[in-house]
This record gives sequence, C-alpha cells and structure tokens, in this order.
Amino acid sequence: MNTKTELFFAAGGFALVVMFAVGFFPLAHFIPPPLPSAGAAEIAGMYQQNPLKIRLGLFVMMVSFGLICPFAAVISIQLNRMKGGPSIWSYTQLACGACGGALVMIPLMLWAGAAFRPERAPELIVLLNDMAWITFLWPVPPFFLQVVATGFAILSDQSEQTILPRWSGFFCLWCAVMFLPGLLLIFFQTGPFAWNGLLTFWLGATVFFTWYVVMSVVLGKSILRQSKQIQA
Amino acid sequence: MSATSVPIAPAIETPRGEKTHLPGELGVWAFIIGDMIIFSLFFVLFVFSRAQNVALYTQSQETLVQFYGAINTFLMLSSSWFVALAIHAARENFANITRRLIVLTGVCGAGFVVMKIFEYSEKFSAGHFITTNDFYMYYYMLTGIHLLHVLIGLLVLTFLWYTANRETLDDKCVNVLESGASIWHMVDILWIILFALFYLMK
Repeated sequence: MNTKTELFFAAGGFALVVMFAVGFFPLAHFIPPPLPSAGAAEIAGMYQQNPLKIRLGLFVMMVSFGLICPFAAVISIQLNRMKGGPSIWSYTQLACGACGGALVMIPLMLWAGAAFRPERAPELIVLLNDMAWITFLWPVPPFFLQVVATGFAILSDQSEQTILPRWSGFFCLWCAVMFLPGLLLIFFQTGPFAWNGLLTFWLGATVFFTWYVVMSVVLGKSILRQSKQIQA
Repeated sequence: MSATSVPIAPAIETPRGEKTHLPGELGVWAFIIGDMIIFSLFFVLFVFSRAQNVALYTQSQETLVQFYGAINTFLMLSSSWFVALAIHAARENFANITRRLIVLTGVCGAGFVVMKIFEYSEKFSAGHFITTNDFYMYYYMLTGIHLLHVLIGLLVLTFLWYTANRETLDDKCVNVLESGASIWHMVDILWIILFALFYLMK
C-alpha cells in the first residue's frame, strides 16, 4: 500500500516538471525571459498582450508546485532507509524541500499580480516583473542545501547495496554547483549572470528541473527494489 | 563518504602493457568532468565576450597585478605536487608522511586564499567592482567561483587528513585519498587556465 503511494509521489517529481514546463512556455510564454534592462512600455506590453494566457499558465504552474513537498518526503523516506538511519542530511533535505515548496510560489503570485490588472501604470508592472524574476531565480540557498544534503546522504550510505546509486549523489553535488551563479543575479542587467542569462536561467533553472526528473527515476527504482525485497 | 560500498575502479592496461587503474572512485571523475564542463563554458563565454571588445579587456587586464596571479599559480602547482606525493606515500603505507604532505597541501591552499583576499581588497580600493565592466564581471565571477572551489577543496583535504589518521592505510583508504586528490588537482588545473585567460592572454 505504502509502496504505491510512494511511487505515485516519486512520479510526481516528473509530473511537476512536465506541468511546470507547459505552464511556463506554451501558455505564459516566459521563454525567452524579458530582458532585465527592458523599458517599462515593453514589459507592460508583455502582460497586456495576453493576460488571460499568462494567468492560465500561472494556474498550471501553481498546481504543479503542490507536488514539491510530498516529493521531498519521498526522498527523506529513502534516505532514512540507509544504514545508520535518519541523519541530519535527511532532515535538512526535508526542511529545505518544504521551505523551497513555499518559496517557488512567491514569483507566481507576483507574476499573477502583474497579469491581474495589466492596464495599471507600466512602472508598477515593471516593479512586479522585477520582483517576480528575482524571487524566481535568486533564492538559491534552500534549493542548494536540499540538493547538497541529498548528495551527502547518498554518498555516506554504508549499506552493502546502496539505497540510491552513488552516481546520483555526485550528480546532486554537481547540480548544487550549477545553482550558485544565480546568487549574484541582482548585480547584473545584462550578460550571462543576469536573470535571463545563460548560467542563471538557461542552465540554472534547467538543472533544477533535471534534478527532479533524475531523482524521480532513481527514487522509483529504489522503491520498487524495496518492495521486491519485502515480498521475497 | 566512507569506504564500505565504494566501487574500486577496475585495472586498466596502458598502451605499453603496464597494469594501472583509474585513481579514486569513478563517480568522482563524473563530478570532475561535469564541473570542468561548466568551467569550459565559462571560458568560452569569456573569450567570446572578449573578442567583441578587445580594447576594453586589454585595458582592464592591465589593471590586474600579475605578481598575485603568478604567486597563486606557484602555490597551486606546489600544492598539487604535495598531494601527489601524499598519494605515493599512502600507497607505500607511510601514514605519517601522508598526513604531513596533506597538511602542506592545505597550507598552500590557504596561502592561495590569503593572496586572493589581498588581491580583491586591492581591487576594491582601486574602485574596480563586479559592476565596473564586463571584464571585471567575469573576473570576479570566475575567480570567485574558483575560490569557492578552493575552500571546498580545503574541506576535502581536512576529510582526507582524518581518513589517513590511522596506523595502516588499506586499499579502500587509499581509494578515498585518490578521489580527494583528484578533486584537488582539478581545482589546480582550473586556476592555471584562469591565470592564462585573465592575466596573460594578449
């Protein structure tokens, strides 16, 4: 019974990414992101053009983020099975997952504020737009710590047959490095480190969602192996 | 990151027919390659952006002090040499010498950090900030991210010191040491490239 629930929420990580992508691009048209250096008229125009589609996209993204917390719970359940039992990494992962689950909704609310009344003064739209993109890509620490804690837990697993594959632990650490450039985006309006830059948006955000897909797969495999061991 | 379940890399035969093996754990190499891919991307971005405004980049480059870069290169190369010697000592099961060489590696690494602090504060007081221009954006971002790697590397060295803090160094222990040393070598190589790009490239 538990196995099925766990599998469901492990697959939720994958579903989250698909739903978010659908909301973000085909619906809200947030790719490519608006230039941080763009003028007020241009930014306001983006929201005035099709506010309904943006709201629809935001709605889908908002729903998709409901899957973040149960996904973090699935990770911690697997980490707790490792030899040595629950560790500080498992709890850090869960705490940061919960914190991240709340954080990711803030940019959605700010985007929604801009799309809710797009005829308001363009300067106010720019403010909301800035706030939304900054809160979307800047708050790196909880996500960084979630990924690092998961990686450390996987790599310190002393079991003969490790619960999660060791390569996924190194993958987590690599993802963490990829998140770092985002921390400095408030200093730049142009270039690869600005919010629309290669390293912050195109790679940072992509790696974030890739992490969900990869973890979704390794968790699913681990849960299935566990249920076979129990049956055997 | 302890040893029980670490798969030790299989033996490889060199073209000359000698038996050897991949130092450390395979997963560590995946991480190293992944990290070096990110840095390669940094390097490409820098060179590409430089090509679009060579005058600005050469002009800003002249404000860097080559002395700092050269000292840091010397420190990094020495530290790499020490950590390589440490691995040789570990393979011969000289635990004491291994630990001392790891300490020497760490001292060089710490020296690198101190030099970097001097260099950054000198740049700040001269009014060169991350927002000054594109050259300085790359300079601070790339050397900053590298400096973070050095700090993480120092933590790895501390971990290695504790790993070697025992009477006999068995195969698993040597494997962990090799993994950590490989990471330190990567930190060294990345600095050599950064040094060439920022201080020397004409």
